[in-house]
Amino acid sequence: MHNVLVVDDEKVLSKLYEHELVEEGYNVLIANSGTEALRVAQDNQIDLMVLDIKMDDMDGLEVLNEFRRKHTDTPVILNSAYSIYKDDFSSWLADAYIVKSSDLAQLKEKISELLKI
Amino acid sequence: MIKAIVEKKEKDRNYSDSDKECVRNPILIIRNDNLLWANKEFWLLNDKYSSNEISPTLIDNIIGIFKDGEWNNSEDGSKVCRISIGKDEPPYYITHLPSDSFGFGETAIYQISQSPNRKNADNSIRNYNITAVINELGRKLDHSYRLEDTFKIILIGATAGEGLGFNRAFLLLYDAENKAFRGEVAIGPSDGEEAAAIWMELDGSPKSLDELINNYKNATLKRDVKVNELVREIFIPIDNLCEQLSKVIRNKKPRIIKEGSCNDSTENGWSLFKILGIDCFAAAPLMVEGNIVGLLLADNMITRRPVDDSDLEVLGIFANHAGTAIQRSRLYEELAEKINELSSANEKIRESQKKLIESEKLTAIGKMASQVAHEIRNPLSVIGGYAKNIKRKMDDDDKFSEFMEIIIKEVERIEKVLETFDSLSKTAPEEKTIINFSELVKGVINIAENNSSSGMRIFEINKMEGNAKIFGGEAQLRNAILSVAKQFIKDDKESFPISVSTKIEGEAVLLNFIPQISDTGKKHPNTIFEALYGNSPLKRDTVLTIANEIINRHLGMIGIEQGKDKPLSVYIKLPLYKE
Repeated sequence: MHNVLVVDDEKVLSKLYEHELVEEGYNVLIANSGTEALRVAQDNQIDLMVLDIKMDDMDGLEVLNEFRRKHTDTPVILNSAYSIYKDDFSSWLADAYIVKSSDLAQLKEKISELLKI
Repeated sequence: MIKAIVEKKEKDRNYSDSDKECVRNPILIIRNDNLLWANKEFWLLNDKYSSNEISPTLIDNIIGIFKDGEWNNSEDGSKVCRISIGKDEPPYYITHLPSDSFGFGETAIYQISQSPNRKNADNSIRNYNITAVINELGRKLDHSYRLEDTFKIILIGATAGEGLGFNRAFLLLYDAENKAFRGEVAIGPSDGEEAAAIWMELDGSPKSLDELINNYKNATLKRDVKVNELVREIFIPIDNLCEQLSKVIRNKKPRIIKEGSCNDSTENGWSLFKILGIDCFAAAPLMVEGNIVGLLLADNMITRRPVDDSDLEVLGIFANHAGTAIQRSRLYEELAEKINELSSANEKIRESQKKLIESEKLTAIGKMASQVAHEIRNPLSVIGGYAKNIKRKMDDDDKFSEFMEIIIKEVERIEKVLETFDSLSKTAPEEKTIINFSELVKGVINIAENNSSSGMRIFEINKMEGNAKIFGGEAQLRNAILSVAKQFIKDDKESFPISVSTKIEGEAVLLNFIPQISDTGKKHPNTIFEALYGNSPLKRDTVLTIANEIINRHLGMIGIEQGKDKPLSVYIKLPLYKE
């Protein structure tokens, strides 16, 4: 079973993702801030990270930068309500960029694709 | 046979008393037996004798003289013929002015006077009030501010019959940088035909000096091109002046310069005579507060009237006025130029302010649109996401299934609206800020380094300039620098690490990427150069092209440098921000 880390400061949203991804058969770990995400990633074997960008303590791009230092091969999906960061070169470090939507089909497809399931 | 082609109205003109007071010798210009032009003094004389019993008109009389008259050579090479007009009238003399030496061809100029001696005849006409003329010219110059107008007044003043009466005038200005006198502008006919055309046109114009100056442009239009071509050939280094011109400069006084007097002098003395096509001219220094700013040359090429001491005296007085006027006009034009520059700068500032306001408005709208989208999209994802989750778990015949479907559809409708907000935020220009360039570079290198899967250290940050500030869109510039940095990651690893440094160079800040091993390291810059400026657009790297565009829009450039003693490097140059 793949470990998927969902990082989002909107607790209700991360709860929804957890619910949906568990149903898809993943082991879901939740972090509600950037700092927490890095800690969870350090303490656990992470196979994929779904990362929000706009967060209070540390934005997703900073988290991504830090995360990449140690996890060069772990896929990261940037999942943001902002579409503008898609054009920012900082987001190149991620493997995919998805604009948040009520339809989680695109996210699920991308996770499956990156984990080569 | 001579045919008078001058229009009748010329002959019928009425002359005022003031005209008669300034009477000069009658002059005619004839080409191929046609009367091209005659001055008003001729027509006055003609009118005077037109009712004479002996001869109906002076022209008729002259026709006879041309045919049968006895012409004698005078001392200065001209031919003179004595004519008797009336029974009790004193004799008149027609002087055929020499023209062969200045290539008039078939054009001949004749002067009628009551003296067989040309010099006496010429002097007799200078009975007008020269002081009044100088005063009028001075007054006109005092009110001239544009350099071009000042030149015009000086030249017209020196040449107009109502002015100093020379045939041609040349203005030479002192070029301090090259220590030489350089021909600037000239006025006057270059041959008899031009003289006839210009003088005929001026005869029909109003005659006061003031009006003449205002109307002279029309009369000389396209006709003084030749003398202006001549004047532009004049370039005399100060230490290469002929002795006579040197005396003008040394003594700061006007002189008559004769070809013979410059015989033993420098080549430039000679070349000036060659250019002007005459053997004698007057030269007066143009002075400002004791310094010479130029020379005014004048001659009588057409009428060949000798320049005498009184001409020289008047020219000297006039040149003093002219020098001051030129200096004043120069200062005025410099001031006007500064004012124009200032106005243009003010206009640019106003334009920039306007654009800035527009840009700030768009940026604010874009930011707001983006934030609104974010604030709505998050809860909407929650509502829609849970609705879809619940709907999936409901039986199709569940009585709430239809309501869930309505919620899902409405959420999707709002999400579609939010997409238009996204496009709005994308069209807004990026906000520009003051950026610490070295910090920006360090951040970019950090990202680029982390992006590499090689496990090797790619970049080595060396000397970074701490005070290098630039002004621009931070995200755009970060992207541009990153895309250049990423080019190094793509290539072979033999030349790693790539040295990265920043430095201030004049008004710009430079970011240098220098591969450590120069031979293999050449590959990177060449690849980047190809990707940026390759001949085929298909071979160009899209990302690098965008990066180049971003840097260009920030008035900077991406370049490759390869010096003899310098390693091959790629650099990004951007203008330094000034407070």
